[in-house]
Amino acid sequence: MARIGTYNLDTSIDGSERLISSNPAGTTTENVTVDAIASWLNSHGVIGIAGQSNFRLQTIEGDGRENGTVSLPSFGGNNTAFSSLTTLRFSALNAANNDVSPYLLSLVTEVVILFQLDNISNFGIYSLSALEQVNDTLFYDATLTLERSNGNLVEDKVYGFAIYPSTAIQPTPTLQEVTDEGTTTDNSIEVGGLTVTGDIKNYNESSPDIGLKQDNDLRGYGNDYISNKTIAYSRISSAAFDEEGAIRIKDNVFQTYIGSEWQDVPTGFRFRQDSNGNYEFEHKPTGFDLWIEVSSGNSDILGLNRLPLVQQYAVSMGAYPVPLQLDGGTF
Amino acid sequence: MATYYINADTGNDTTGDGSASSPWLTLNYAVSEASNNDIIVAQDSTNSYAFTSFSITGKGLTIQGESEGGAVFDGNGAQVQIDSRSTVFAINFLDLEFTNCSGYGQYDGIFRIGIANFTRCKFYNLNFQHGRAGIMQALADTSDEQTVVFLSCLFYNLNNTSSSSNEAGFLLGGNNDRTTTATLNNCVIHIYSSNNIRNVTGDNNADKNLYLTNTILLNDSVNDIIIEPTRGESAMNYSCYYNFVDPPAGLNNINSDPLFIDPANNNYNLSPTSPCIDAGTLI
Repeated sequence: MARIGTYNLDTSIDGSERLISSNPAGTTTENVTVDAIASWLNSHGVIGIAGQSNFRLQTIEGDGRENGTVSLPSFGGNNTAFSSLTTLRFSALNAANNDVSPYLLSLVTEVVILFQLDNISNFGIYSLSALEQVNDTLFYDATLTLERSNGNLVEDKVYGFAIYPSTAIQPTPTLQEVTDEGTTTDNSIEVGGLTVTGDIKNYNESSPDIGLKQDNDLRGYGNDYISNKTIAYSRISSAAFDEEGAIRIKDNVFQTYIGSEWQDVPTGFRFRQDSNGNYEFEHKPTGFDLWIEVSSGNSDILGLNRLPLVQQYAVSMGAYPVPLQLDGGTF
Repeated sequence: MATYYINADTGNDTTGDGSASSPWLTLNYAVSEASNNDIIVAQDSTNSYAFTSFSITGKGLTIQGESEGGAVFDGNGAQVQIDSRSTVFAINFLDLEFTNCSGYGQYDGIFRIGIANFTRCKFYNLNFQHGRAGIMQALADTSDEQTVVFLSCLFYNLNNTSSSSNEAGFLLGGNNDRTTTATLNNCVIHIYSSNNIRNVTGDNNADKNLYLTNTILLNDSVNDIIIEPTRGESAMNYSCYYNFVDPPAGLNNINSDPLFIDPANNNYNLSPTSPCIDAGTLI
């Protein structure tokens, strides 16, 4: 064999180039390709990168699952898209028979990346939600939720498995439905980043008030509270609680409860300016049509002789009211 | 709402403009010129106003006299009818007198008005020649109810020459099955026994709802004029009747001479001893 220095210096290494090697005992000369060396280095993790562990994709069961492999639970998987992966089974021992399970377990709840070492464009990024040991074996099933991916798995390729920088994955914004109704326990509503500009209705949704305006009592008043509504074809009854502000009609008298007692509300009275410009305080008794001036007891309506039909609250029959007679008394 | 004026002495339908200073002559012309809710004032006049037939369509009006006795509408013995059959628009009459006219036909009345209010009006020297005629004639459609209110009105010297004496009324007439509701408050009705009046309402083949309050009915001598209509509802309260029979049920009525001061000469003021004094009720 010539001196090595007499051979040409190869400055462009190809993976298929061969190097001189020997068997592990050193008794037989062999050759080995650059690719084979690179694959061995990868699969055995000889060249380490912090936070990364390498696994070869085993697609055929053969003599069983091998150390340093990643596989599908039922094997196969060649040309399977990264995007379709939900479970992968990792060997707890790497190709160098070192236990990497503590490291794998530390990745649970993290966002992880599985990528083909010699073709970084084949990768999948997942949320690792669980890592369960499979039946007391040295294999663990990883439960994965896809974040993003590209490409497919290739059998026997070596894949790096590592934490993906969390800042590189921004959670997909999910617009939560925000309504202006609901029940709160207090008014200190904190919604991160959101500014609540409108009124928050705190009424009890299961027992809303009747009407537009809802009471802001946190418990809600319920259906015994009416606001901003027109009441039609309704009436006030004689039954009422003795409470301030209550109203009722009792014995044909409209009453309101003020100052801890029922008080009559006068009806059928008016104050007006008559056709002569005089101001009159008038009363129309219930059931009658004529207004009577309170001070004189006379009606505005006149008889044929132009005297009030009603005089001093008294009425005569006929169309000719009787002139008032002054009583001088008895002497 | 406009106010127009008529004057039986100085008015002119051609040269007048309906103002107080340049009034029209006739009520007919003023009615034709007036709009809904307008007021027509009949100014005090020495002459009587001509009372002839006319119609009022699609409007309510108030027709009022200027003062007591100042506006007398004289039919000159002819048949007259004011026709406003609307049940929406009211025709109001105040301080007017209607006299010397007739309702000649079988059902004809001097007024055929859906909603009529008479206040301080006088009706006298009126003739009817059929039992179903009367001051108020019912409307044409059986579904249209006529409503009329008389307040402080006077009726006297009303004649009926009907051969059907049982139907000889004076107040409410009209065709079969036409309902009329009449309310009389503080009115005076004076019937002369010689004038062949047998009933207050007249026609017995239709509902005549009659409500009388504070009203005095006086018949000269014969005790046979029926107050209560044969059909319809009726009530009479706080009223006085004398020489009438069959008064409608009611409260505080008096069957007694009202003791007018001089009814023979149309003075219907109450004498100081009248039982009607202070015997009425608020209305």
